[in-house]
Amino acid sequence: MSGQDNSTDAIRTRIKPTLDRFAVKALKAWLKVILLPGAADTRATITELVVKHIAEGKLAEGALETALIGFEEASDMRVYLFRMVDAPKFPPVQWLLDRLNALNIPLSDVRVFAGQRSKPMSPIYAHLEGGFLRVKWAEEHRSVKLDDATDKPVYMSFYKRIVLNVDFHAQIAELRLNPPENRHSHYDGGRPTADAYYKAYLDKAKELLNCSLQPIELRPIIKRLIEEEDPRVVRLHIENHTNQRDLKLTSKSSRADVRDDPEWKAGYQGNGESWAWDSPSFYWQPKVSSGFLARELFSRIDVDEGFIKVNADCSDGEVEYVVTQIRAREAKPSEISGLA
Amino acid sequence: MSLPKFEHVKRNHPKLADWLDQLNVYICTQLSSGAAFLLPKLAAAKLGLTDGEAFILLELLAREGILHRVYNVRCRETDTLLATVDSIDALDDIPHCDDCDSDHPSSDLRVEIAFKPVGDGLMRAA
Repeated sequence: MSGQDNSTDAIRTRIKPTLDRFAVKALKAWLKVILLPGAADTRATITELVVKHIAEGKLAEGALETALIGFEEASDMRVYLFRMVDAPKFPPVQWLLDRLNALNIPLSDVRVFAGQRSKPMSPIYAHLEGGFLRVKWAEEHRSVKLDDATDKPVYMSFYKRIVLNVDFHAQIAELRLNPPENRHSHYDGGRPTADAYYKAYLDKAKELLNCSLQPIELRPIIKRLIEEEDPRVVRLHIENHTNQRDLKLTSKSSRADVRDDPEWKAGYQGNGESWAWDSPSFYWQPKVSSGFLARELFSRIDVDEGFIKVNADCSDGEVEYVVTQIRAREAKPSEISGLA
Repeated sequence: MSLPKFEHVKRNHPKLADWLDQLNVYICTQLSSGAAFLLPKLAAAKLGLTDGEAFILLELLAREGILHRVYNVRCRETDTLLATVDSIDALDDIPHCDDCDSDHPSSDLRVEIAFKPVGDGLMRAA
């Protein structure tokens, strides 16, 4: 930027407060994906590496900010995936602008950080580009715990981000939410509940898009991921399923793939066809990611609750990769679904 | 099972006749091996369908009075089955969770749709 002090000290002063909010491992993986790798395993060294890339003109501060906003919008999220039903076809521009206006969501050319918003469902921005819409809300939650030493409650504030991604061309939508704390403004039966929090944002998304949102079926996707062997897209970390006797079984593997265990393999070969997969954890493999991942990336698919949980520190690109891989394995609706 | 009611469902939905026959075999196998109820997710896994598709097939049999829709109430923390109830109204009276040693509020419970045979016609056919 013209007139801006581009000494390393000035760059460090500008970027450090924001950079410090994100995990070193996640930043390192992101730099590797954008082909700016470097040896940096501590907070100090990753900061110096980013400062160096900016000072040398390899990384623009604007690009860094966009990436960090992406971290805010991707980290520690429960991701719900939907198909839009009876949605308006693209281009939805005037109709959509009216809806955004009615819901007090400011349309912005750029994505921005949420900051510390205390009010529930505070709209941050809506960003419309082509047939893609991204909307961000934020709100404050509090966690209350009893202090063992004083027997007094200790309150801590947490700022939650909620992001809606819509692809009007493909008629699909994705809602990302940080998990709630135990004190917030979404009540059910006289107390704040996680379900009430998720439902409030799902209802808001439906209201904005003026359509039904049909959750995608996650169980067939898990089955496909587990069956894929050559190459393995994921390392199966925790596997759990219900069998035909309604018996729930869990297998965990700290470093290896559960599928390599001879006992598991024997059970799977005998009866795996009829197992109903419940909430396995995976590590997505960078080697088969065509450069989208620079590290093994954790995610858990919870079928009963209908979401995908991703790591506490992820880049937007990492979560987009996971979502794309899951969507690519969706089952096609059959003639049976037409009866619903 | 070749109950008149079942044949009636097939006649009403001829495109689904093959799926209904497969479901029929599945239901008979499950009941004869002692299953108390049928879960859409397990029927789906066995038949290679999605949960939603298996639910639709089971629901067709429920509408004909062959099966009866029930609700399995599970502890969200431990996944223990606490009760099987006939209606949503009965969800207010869920027993103590022994695993957690707690009377859970509704937000700590998970409700799962299941199906039970109506009468013993299916059991005899199985």
